[in-house]
Amino acid sequence: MSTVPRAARPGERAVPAGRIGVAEGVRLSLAIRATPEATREAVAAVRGIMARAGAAPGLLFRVELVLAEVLNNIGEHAYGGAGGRLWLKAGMEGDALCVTIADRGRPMPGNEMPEGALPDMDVPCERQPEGGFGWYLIHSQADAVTYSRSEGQNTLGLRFAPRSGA
Amino acid sequence: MELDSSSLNGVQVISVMADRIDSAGAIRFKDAVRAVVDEDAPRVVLDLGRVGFVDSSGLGAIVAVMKFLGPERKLDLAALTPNVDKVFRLTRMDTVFGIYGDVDSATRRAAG
Repeated sequence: MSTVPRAARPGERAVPAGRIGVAEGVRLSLAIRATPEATREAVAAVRGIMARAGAAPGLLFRVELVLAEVLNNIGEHAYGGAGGRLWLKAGMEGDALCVTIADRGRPMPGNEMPEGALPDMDVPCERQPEGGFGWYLIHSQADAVTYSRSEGQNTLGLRFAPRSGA
Repeated sequence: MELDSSSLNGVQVISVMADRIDSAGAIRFKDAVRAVVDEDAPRVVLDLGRVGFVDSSGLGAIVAVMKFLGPERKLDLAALTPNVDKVFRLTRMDTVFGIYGDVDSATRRAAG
């Protein structure tokens, strides 16, 4: 199975944990199909590796939620449910966790990522929005989000800096 | 998705027996809730005490359940775990649902 990320080699763990709580040597890289099931497995695997590396619960929550949203978006929008491949790499850069996710699906509309405003909820029950929360959650829980489109590939960069309590 | 349904203080309590409501489980969650909802229940409390993770798909599925119940049958949520509670607060969905610390207080309040 390609959904199990490679844990850091033993020697890579020698660097003491940074402020964010993850050992600086931790690197992981995985390639999966962009399906809801594979996303669930991949997110759980990343979470497990980070938890064992000593990440704070607040950081685990942010990373788990943002990765779930990003990977689901790729499966739903970039690949339209066809289950194309995506590639995820994560590692520490200084005291921040950086994650890069690439896919070869459709570009984002206008080659720009959505701003991620919350949908209007000041509406009657029967018109409450059932979607439109994903990009808001991504932008609010990651500290920097970058997007580029080049040679048929979407690349999303995520940065998670230490936050108080996380 | 496995659900438990019971009646407490005259309110239907639907307990989600899964640790996640995410994209992989959102549709099954909606279908399962629709299948167990008692047509005559005036109020429904969704017990999320075993759910440790909800993403935007799961959130959307819970909103869909609320809409399915209609304006006459209120959906309240109970026993949110810290991370699920955080997602509801971040998206301001805590202003749309009644949220209670535990099932018992939710049913007492929902029944009143």
